[in-house]
Amino acid sequence: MTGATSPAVWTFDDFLPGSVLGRLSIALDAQRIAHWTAIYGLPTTPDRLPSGLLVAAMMEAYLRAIQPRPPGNIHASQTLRFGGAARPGDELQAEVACVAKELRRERRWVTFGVSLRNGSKNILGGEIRTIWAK
Amino acid sequence: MAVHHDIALPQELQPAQLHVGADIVHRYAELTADFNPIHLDPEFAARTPFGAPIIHGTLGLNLVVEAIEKTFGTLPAEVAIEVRFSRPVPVGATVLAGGSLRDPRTGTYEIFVATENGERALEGTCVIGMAG
Repeated sequence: MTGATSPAVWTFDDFLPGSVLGRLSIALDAQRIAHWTAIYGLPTTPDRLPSGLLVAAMMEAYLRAIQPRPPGNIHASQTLRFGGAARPGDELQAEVACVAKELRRERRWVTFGVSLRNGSKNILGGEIRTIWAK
Repeated sequence: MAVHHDIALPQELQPAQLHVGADIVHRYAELTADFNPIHLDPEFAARTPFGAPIIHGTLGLNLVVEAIEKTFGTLPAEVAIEVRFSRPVPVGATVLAGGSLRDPRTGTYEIFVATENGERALEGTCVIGMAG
C-alpha cells in the first residue's frame, strides 16, 4: 500500500482534507467470492460479480488505508456511485482520501472518499461519513 | 410501469432478506477486513452503549444492492445511492431490504433496511440511470 505516513493511531487532528491516505490493490479472488457466497448466496451472473462485492472491497480499502484507528468510530452515512462491473479474478485499484472534516457539537465528523478502478474504468466511487472517536 | 432512460421502473424493489447470525458477521468481517470488536466480541460490546454486538452497516447496505440487482436482473449502467445508518442492528436479527419508487421522472427510489419489528436501520435514496 502507498499513501500518507501513518501516525501511531489515526486521530481527528491527523486528517488533512484533500490528502490521499492510501492506494492499494484488491483481488477479487476465489476466497473473497466464497465469503460473499456464504453470506448472500451464489451470484446469479457467473461472469459478473455482485455489485455488493464492490462495496465490500471499498470498505476493505477504507479500513486497510487508515490503520491503526481508535475504537468507537461510528459509520454514520454513505454514498455510492456505480459506474461499472467486475469479473471473478479482476484486481481493483483503490484510492482512499480525506474529503472533509468538521468539529460540530463536540463530534468529530470526517468524510472519506474512496474510488475503485478496474483497469482504466472507475467502477465505484463513494463517500464514507464517520464520527471519529478521538 | 414507469420508464426512465429506457429502464422500466417497477413500483417496488424485489425485497431481499437475511438472518444475520454471528457466523454471517464473522464472514463479513473476513470479507471486508473489518474486525471491529463491536461486531464480533460480546464482552467488548457489552461495555458499549449498544450492549451487544451489532452488524456491520454495509452488510445491510449490500442487501439493498442485492434487492436492486434482483429487481433489474443486474445493476443498471449508472446507479447512485445515498444512505444514513439510522439505527444499529443486533447480531441475530433478521433484516429486510427493499425500496419504493418515489419519483419516476428522476428514477429515484426510497430505500431501506428494516428489522423484523419494522424498525428502520438504514434509510436513503437510490437513483437509477442518473446519467444520460
